[in-house]
This record gives sequence, structure tokens and C-alpha cells, in this order.
Amino acid sequence: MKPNILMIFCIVALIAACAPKTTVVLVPDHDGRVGQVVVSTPTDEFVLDQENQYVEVTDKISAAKEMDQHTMGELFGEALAVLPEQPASFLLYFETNAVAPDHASLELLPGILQTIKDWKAPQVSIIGHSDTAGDSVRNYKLSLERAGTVRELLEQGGILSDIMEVFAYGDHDPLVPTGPNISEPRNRRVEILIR
Amino acid sequence: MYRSIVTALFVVLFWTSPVLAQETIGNVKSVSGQVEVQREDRIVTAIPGANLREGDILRTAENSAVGVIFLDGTRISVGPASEMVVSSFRFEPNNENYSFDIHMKKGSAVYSSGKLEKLAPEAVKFNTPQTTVGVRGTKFLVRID
Repeated sequence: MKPNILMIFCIVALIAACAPKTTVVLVPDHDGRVGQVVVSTPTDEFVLDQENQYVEVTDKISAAKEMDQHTMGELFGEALAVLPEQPASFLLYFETNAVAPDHASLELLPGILQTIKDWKAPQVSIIGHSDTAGDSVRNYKLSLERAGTVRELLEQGGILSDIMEVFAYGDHDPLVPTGPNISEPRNRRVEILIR
Repeated sequence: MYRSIVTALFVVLFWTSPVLAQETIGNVKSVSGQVEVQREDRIVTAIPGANLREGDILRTAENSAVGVIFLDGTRISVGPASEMVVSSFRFEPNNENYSFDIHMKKGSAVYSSGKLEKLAPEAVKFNTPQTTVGVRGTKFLVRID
């Protein structure tokens, strides 16, 4: 009798082990912050919000547990090893209506050029922004012109135009959220994102 | 009426999408071992610097892995014996048009948020056969067994 029970137990364990499952682990990001991930199935939902917390999802979501570093290395080591570096980001600021960066920002250029030259296979996104003062369509054009100026400055500094891409967000992504029609120096900026 | 809807659908599906799909949405950054990218019915070996487009499928062999970075700074790396489809990537802040759908069929991956998630968290969906993962500003690991 005993072996039979053991056998049934093994088969059950085997089936459970074979049921397809997804493991989701929340980990701190590059600066140590822990955000949230929402794990959902058609019938259930769970929010992970603790460091290294994980669930296993089959047709239902398991209880949440904490994953130790050793297990994490075994399950995700290869993927973690090739995660690209966190992109580097620089901000250049602009006077009202100006399309060229202010003096303080221009002084950052040599350091930015060096960062791009040292980066492994760099791609550079140049993202123009405006504050919310004035007309939205005009702000979009202004942000595009600002980004264009920065692109020229980088090109003059020896960066190939092939690796640069210009974007304009207008007043849609303020650094400091304001109401409409607000002149805000910190929002008149171009971000150089090196990735 | 029915006919015009069908025609409109046809136009949307077969005329619009190939135009949009031409755009580069990111790049392969690091490759270890054997990794391929499938675009429609063409399969190429992934090399660092290679462009990615909407609809591309990344496949890794055993003991292989690949790291990619998207235009908005989102980073994803894929572990051994994996298959991942970038079903959609739309990042147009000026038009407030955002979408990011990943379909992971098998294997393991690491996800680290970029600007798209910051501007439109609800637009990011990382799907596996068992679950959909939504992101609120962070990094997570996924594995399908």
C-alpha cells in the first residue's frame, strides 16, 4: 500500500512541476528604488511592491514570497549579465524663446561629447522641450528647433549624425509640471540621452 | 456599409501598418552566444548595433543571451532558450500616442523602465502565456517554465 501512495504523490508532484508557469520578481532599479508591478490573469491580480518579492502564475497567482540572491542568479543570471547600461542623461537649458542653450549649459558640452565618445556603440536621442507659455503648436516647433541646435553643436563636436536622432515633445513632458501658460525655466530644455 | 467597413479595415491593416513598421524602435546592444532576429519571414543573426522594428522576434539559443535598448531608454535583456516578440512600440509624446506590448513565449527576461513607462504607465504590457505584467516605474524579472 505504501509504495502506491508514494507513487501517486510523485505523479501529483510531477504534474504540478510541469504545469506551465510564469515567475515574476520585482527588483530595485539602478538607483535602488523599488516600484510596483501588477501581475494579472483574466480572473486575478496581485501587486508586487517589495524588494525581491515574487509570485508564480499558473492558472492562478501563488502567494508572494521573497527570492534569495542565489536563486535569482540561477534563474536570471545570464539575462542580468547582458542588460544594457542605464542610459546617461544630460539637460541643457534655454532662455525664453531662445533656440540656443544658455551659457551655463554650453559649458557642459565638452563633458557630454566625452561621454558619447567613451560609450560603447552609442545612440544619442536629442529631445527638445518647451514650457507651457504660449501656443502649443508653436511650443512644439520651438522644442524641435532647440533640439536641432543641439544636434548641430554635437555634430560640430565630432559626433556622427548617423547615431543621433532628434525628437520634439513640445510642452508634453515638463520636468516641473505646471498649469497652462506658465513660463518655467526648468521646462525650457533639451535632453541628451545617451544609450 | 459592411463592405466599406471591410475595405476600411483592409486599408488599415495592410496599408498603414507596413509604413509604420519601417521605423527603428531600438537597438541590439549586447549579444552573448547565438541570437537571431526574425522580421516577417527573414531571419538574421543579431549583432550589437542592429536596429529593431515593431513586430521583430528575438530568439536565443541555449547558453545565449541578448540585451536591447529602446528609443525611450527602456532596457530589456533576454536569457537562454527564449523567444520574445516586440508586438508594438509607439512613443510619440507630442501626439500623446503610446503603446508597448511585449509577448514572451518562453525563456527568461529582465525589464527596466524607460520614458515611455514614465509618461504612460498604462501603455506598457509585458505578456507571457500565463499572465500580463503591468509596470509602475521599475525593474522586474520574468521567467516561463
